Amino acid sequence: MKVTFNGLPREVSHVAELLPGRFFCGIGVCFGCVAEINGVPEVRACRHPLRDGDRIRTTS
Amino acid sequence: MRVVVVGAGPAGMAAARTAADAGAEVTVVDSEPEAGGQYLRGRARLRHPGVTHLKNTEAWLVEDRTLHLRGPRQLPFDALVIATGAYDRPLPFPGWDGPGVITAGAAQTLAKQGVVLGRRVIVSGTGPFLLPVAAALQDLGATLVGVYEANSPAGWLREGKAVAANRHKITELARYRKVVRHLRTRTAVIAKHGDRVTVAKLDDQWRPVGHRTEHADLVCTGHGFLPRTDLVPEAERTHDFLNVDARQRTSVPGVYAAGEVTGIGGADLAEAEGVVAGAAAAGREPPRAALEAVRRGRLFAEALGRVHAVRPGWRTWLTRETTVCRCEQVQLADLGDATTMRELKLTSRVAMGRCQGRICARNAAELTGVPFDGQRRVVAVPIPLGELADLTEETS
Amino acid sequence: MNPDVVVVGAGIIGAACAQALRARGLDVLVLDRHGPASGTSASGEGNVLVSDKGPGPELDLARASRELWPQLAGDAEWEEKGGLVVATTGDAAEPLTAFADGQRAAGVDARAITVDEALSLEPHLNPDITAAVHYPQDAQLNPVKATRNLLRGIPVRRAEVSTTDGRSVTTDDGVVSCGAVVNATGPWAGRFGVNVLPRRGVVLVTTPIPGAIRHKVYDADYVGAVASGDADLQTSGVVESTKAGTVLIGSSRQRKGFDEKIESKVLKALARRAIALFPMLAGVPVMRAYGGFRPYAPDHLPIIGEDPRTPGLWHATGHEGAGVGLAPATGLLLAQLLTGETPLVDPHPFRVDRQEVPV
Repeated sequence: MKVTFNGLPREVSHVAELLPGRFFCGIGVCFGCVAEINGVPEVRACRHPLRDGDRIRTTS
Repeated sequence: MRVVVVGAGPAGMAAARTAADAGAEVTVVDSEPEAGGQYLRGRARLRHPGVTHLKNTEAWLVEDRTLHLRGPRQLPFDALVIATGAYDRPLPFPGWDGPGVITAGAAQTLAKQGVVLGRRVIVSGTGPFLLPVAAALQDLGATLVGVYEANSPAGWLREGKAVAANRHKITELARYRKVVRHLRTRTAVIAKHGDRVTVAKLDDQWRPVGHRTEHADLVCTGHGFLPRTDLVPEAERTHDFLNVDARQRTSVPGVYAAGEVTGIGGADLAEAEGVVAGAAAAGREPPRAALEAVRRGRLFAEALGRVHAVRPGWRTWLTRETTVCRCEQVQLADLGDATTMRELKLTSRVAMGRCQGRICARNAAELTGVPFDGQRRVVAVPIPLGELADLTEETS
Repeated sequence: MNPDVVVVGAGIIGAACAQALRARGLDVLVLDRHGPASGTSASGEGNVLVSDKGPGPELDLARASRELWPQLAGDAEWEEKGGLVVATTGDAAEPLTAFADGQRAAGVDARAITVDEALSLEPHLNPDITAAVHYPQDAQLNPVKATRNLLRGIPVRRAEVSTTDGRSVTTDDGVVSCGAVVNATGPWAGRFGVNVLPRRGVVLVTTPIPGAIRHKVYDADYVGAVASGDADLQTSGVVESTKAGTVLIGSSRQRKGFDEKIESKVLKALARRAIALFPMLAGVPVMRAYGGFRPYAPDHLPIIGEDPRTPGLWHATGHEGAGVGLAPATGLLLAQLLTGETPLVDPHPFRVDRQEVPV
């Protein structure tokens, strides 16, 4: 998938590859993976099925 | 009779089918895109006459006989079955909050999607669940550096009754033969710095008695499980797992619970509990076979709890600077001398961040000796203020 | 050795009483069934306000407390953030500015500002507000830390008190003899003979948005809600950030005993009020809601003084939602009355034997 991560183009197969140290529980419980995705704040990225063109921004 | 089931894992699916077969009008609410839960992810289908399946839907509040869903949307019910399952309990150690550490459940979930986050992998924790995780990682080509079980399986020798009643569990384990040669017992990861991982030999209380360094870029950790009970904060519980009677009734009127949210015993017990809960929720007598399966399964669950309990020596793995709460960056030294959970939270900010203590509260309680109060979270999942403002006035 | 004074209740009021008594050389023992700040004190926002009080005895107590807090707060995250009170409708504008005029005459720093000035203080504020008053004296602290600081060096014992005769207290752990007893049990004070009832409040907590909201901002309806005793749900918009960047949203008032259930209609009303003040909050998620019980007397004034029916029994309760803000002056006033010093404010309005208070 070709996505934009914190403003830079990246090619990954899973959102977990973008979030080392933040992808933790994988099922939406720990909130470690919270990011802004396509303009929506506070998305638990681990629950987001990645699509081409997604814009992901970590906010904290 | 309107029965609402939250969770579409083995327990929730069984409850839904059973209740529908008994004539109830059933709605299953599940946060995932497909039925199956963590266990049957991608391998299950929930199509059953009389069952409506709401996918990708999160529930956030139970209010009398109404379940509030994100949207906002409200589902009135006559009976509610909580089948929300459990998630890995991670114990903190120096480096657990850095890159290359995920829960065993996360590793399993990723593996089911064909993803491994490392090349050299360690699985560390306690309980039989570590083996399928290790096997899944190995199947995807990862090098298994080790599978570390902190307890001693010799504990099972004292559990003859539970083993005799659940022989099929032993045969299941045979499936993981190829990872068993990597299994080391009384062993745990107690620190990770970069790819240098400190692996300790433990005494029977999990205090390190010796250690060595291994190299691994991914550590998958799981020291038992914590139940997802957010929807019923006032329900009675034991070690945070919901108390249920022989009909799977919780202490909250009209609310039943089934599966790992009542205790950890595997998918077959979860399914049997689901059948009992589904029947009872629909106002029927539960089938005797299911009641018997629950009885047998509970024997195993109780034995599992004894043999694979978390032992207090883990608290010596931390240094004063070790992170306890990932969200609020609270270190062990910050925890102070509080005597209640609320005092602990408001003085240290532990459990006050986005995860609301789901990951850290139990650990913080055990580290400080403060009684763990089961975390009364009223909003089960975050909900935007705009959505709250749009709630319709009259519920049920 | 038996203590001079037993303080029942280790909330912010009990802690302030204990601190002031100990500062006068008395030997103090604090009893609480759960531990420091485990009830009402930990359920609010830690407000130290002058903005919400009209001229009168409670404002005098609040102003005296506001003077005392900076020396007592210690590491309790004392922050002089200032309050911003706004009118959201045309009808509400004039009463707000009139209320502020009265406060100013009573010595409160209440500055009527323009909408533009309000927007420069709070850039995300709804530009449709009709009036605004800035109160630089309003402050906030961490009530649990503040309670612990006040209790430093004072023994706190876990015990539930069943009865007292003013010279001893009977607990689930035996009888403690003493010279005097202070009832500082907040909304549970009714069991010691004063007419204090719980008034439910709920606070919403959002995920962190650091820096977005800088003051304590509330709509002018707050003033009316405090002064009312109506059982039905009353809400007003009260919005502020914590140091961690989360936003706290209140406030609701309901008389429903000690019922802890959280109702969606309360969450909805609070959300609407908050969005009316800050439209951008509509997209910000709430991650927690919690509730507590404010102790209120029939005339909505604190009860501070000795019980004429039971010499030796003193009451310090009934502070409604203002206990944190009123604590230091309450503790000082009680200690001064108990030791025979000249009181810092007129104690008469807070006396125990006023109408409807003794039961």
